[in-house]
Amino acid sequence: MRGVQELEPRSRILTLMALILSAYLVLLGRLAYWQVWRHDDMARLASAYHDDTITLPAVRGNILDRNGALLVSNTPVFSIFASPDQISARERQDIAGKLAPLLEVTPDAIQAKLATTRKFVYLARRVPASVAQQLDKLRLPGVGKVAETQRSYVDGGVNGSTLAANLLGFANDDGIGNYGVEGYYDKVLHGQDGFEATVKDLANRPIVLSDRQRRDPVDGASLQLSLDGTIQVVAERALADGVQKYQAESGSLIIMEPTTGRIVAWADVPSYNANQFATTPTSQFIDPIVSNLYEPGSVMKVVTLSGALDDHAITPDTRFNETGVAVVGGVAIRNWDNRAHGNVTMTQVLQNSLNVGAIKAQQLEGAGPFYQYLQKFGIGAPTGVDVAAETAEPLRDLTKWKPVELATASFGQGVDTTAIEMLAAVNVVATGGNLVWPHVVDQVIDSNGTRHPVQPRVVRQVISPKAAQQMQQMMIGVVEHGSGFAARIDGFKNRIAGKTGTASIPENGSYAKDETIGSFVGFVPADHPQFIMLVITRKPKVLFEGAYVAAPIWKTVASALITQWQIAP
Amino acid sequence: MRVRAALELPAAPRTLASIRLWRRGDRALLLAVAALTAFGLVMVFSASEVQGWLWFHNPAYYFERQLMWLALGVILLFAGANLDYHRLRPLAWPLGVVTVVLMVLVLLPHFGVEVNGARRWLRLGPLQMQPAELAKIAAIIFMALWLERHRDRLSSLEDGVVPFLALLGFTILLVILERDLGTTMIVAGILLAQFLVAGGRKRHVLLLALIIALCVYLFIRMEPYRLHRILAFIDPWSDPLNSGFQAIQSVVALGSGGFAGLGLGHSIQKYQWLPFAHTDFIFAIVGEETGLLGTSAVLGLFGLFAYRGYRVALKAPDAFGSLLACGVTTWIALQALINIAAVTVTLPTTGIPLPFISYGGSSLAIALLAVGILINVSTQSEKVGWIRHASIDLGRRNGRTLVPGDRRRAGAVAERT
Repeated sequence: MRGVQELEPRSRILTLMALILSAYLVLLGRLAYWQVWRHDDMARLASAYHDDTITLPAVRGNILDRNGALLVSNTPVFSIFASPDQISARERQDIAGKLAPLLEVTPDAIQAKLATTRKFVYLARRVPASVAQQLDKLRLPGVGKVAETQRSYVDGGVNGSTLAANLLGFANDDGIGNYGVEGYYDKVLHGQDGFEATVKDLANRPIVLSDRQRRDPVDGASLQLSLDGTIQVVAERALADGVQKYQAESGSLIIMEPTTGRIVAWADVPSYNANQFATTPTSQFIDPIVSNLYEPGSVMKVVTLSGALDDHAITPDTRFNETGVAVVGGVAIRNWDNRAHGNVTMTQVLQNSLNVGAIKAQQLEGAGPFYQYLQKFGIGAPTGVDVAAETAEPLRDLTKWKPVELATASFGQGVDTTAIEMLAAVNVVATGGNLVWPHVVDQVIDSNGTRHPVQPRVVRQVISPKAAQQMQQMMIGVVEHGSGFAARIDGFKNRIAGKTGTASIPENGSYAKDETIGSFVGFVPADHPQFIMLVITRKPKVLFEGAYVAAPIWKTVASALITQWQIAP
Repeated sequence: MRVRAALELPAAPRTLASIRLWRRGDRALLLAVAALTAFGLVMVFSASEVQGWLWFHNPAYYFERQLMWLALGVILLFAGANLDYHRLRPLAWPLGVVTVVLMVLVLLPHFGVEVNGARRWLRLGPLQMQPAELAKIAAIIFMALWLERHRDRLSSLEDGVVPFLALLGFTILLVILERDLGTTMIVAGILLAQFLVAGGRKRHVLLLALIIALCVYLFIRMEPYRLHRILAFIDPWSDPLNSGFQAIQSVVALGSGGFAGLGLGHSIQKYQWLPFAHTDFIFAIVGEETGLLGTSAVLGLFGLFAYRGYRVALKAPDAFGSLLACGVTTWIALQALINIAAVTVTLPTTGIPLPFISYGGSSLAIALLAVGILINVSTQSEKVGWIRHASIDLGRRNGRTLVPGDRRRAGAVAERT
């Protein structure tokens, strides 16, 4: 043998054995390293990969009318999805061809969605259960469905729009309430989502394991409105007819119970279909009743004269010589008919809606008290109605008012109000002197079925019962002898109190010539009213005055309500 | 008493084969294999149920197939154990030729089935098999025979080393053509181990190992994906979503199992997080579900297998038996080593299954056949085996020319050649 001593055969095998076994010892060390030394790191990494929290959505509450009829409910729908990574290129055409007629889209549109390597893509959102059933029969690979719920809104009185759409608002695809009651009561309706902590696989699918954390959802509360669905339909139809007849741009109508402030009807024309909110222009969602400012016009005379009566600055029989023009701060202000009416009472001022007379009353009362009464009637302040997006234009500080501005304000020019604000203000007369909080939701029904009634609220006493009664009589006169003639209803002689309004629309600092907002507000029966209703028509083209445009609509709806509610004169 | 008396009787010629095996074979080795295989079956079910459900809507899909192959494997094990290993000698050449043909066939597109980018599978009716598995056992038998016959010339460069290198090179070439680096390394390891035990010089073994290492290096440079695997091994976290994904998911599985594991069947990584969870990376699922207790037990069983296997080689009555035992033991032990090293990110991933445990029917069946041969060698073991005689001879000789050591069968054969 040369230099190197060769191993004997026995030790050669032992060498192999030793090599293998020592390598195993190294591996044992590696195992201990990962499984004991690095265990915490790896477990943390694993939970970062695996753990997932699934939201268990709470069921959104329903919305009912005062008689318990469903206005808004949830219907089960399905969303169709595909897992393009599990669909081979060859299958795409076939799948697209079969799905296209079902989902009412082109096969190309589906193919385009499938031609990716993504794990999840929606093919259609919120299709009815019948479509989902047909899909099941097709047994397409890589295509599935998830159950969801969709808000559904009942049909309204007018074709193409849902009932009280502007009042109710809608809940979007994510279940978030927008506008109206849905927006205002979003948290109440939504409830509290639950969750479930699970473990997911590589494709984000949850793995069903026994031990998982879970919190059950608390379903949203349902809302019972004071709204009367039947009256609402009548109101929507009558308003739409009127708007069409007088070729008005839009119209609004609100009915309220005077003493409780509960809203009975709330209509807007034009309205929209809340079931198709996704394809509706955003501008249509806005509710003019709470969100649009307008100059109320002569309806404001009710506020002006009521304040002056309460302040004893005038009586219904206060007489003065009406010359047909009032010059205030160098500006001449005339009546609507440009005529002088001679020796008139304040009752006649209201009956014939004389601007000069309203200015007289305001001047007899004085700037400070007049301004305070505006505030007490709630002019320039939000009413707090439980509907989203209520706006208000605060009254400027008294010191900033010029005399001529006070004068025009007395008959409703140069003062911005909302419709709900004016309704609440005139309602002071109907209630015998109290400003009442207007509200839509009568009861909150929680997920256990417990009913929580919403208590009516008197905001403040504004005028004395005596002044209110005097004004009621004056407003009866408006209907019986004055501009409110179109609101007369058979059998209710001297039982209807009302006031017309024809306001000009300010544009770029001056008033547009032929564009007006005609309105009528009235309550029945005058001395213990069951309802008060305000009708507004914007920019009518055929006739301009509230007396001709809004009052007939008021009469139609009031007659229906008197019949429906069996209101005695 | 009567039972004991019956047991003490000399073995009747017609005793049941299995009882004879149990009495005369290496029981510890058999138990180690049985334990590994049984545990493997459980783990295949657990690790494959997710994929079985997703792909075939049958969580037991892979389990059922593994069970079928296991049945065949048990038959092969008994067949191998009951066949006198000396009768493998005449089989060496035909087996070698068949294997070479199959190895070439699998490369042809019409016969080979491509799985994960490599053409390694041959379709036989409903079943698929990897000729490379057969190649291992064929190479072991063939090389045992060749080395036994050339034992006395192994120390010579031109008569021993060069012809061996030629055989080794040819075998490796066939395996390498299938782009199977893991199997290539195992075959090279087996043949080198046999060469060493048969009497090859230490320096030649080292030289050959060096040549193989060089080839492996060139092999890695040839294919970009292999380089990626190496890079992923060096720093998996540099690209955790692509090249490093497999390695990270593997150690996450192992590591989250901790000391005692999440419990059998409770793996989460098998939910498609860990690719090849039921085949090459099943050991990671073992670690996740049974913890360090389970993994060290499996490693211990492989250690026991290696120890008993080499002990069989030590006690074999002749060089052929010793070389067979050595080859089979090195094969299983080395394959387990490489697989577990990949799972623990100790060595780069090469894509070979864990013997007895991973899903893969032909691999399991042929491994069990090899164990059968090993058991047969163990049934013929002697207190002082060929090795001891050879060692004693070598000691006695002490510098003289090497003469055939054994005076019996092995010696006779050696003298004949």
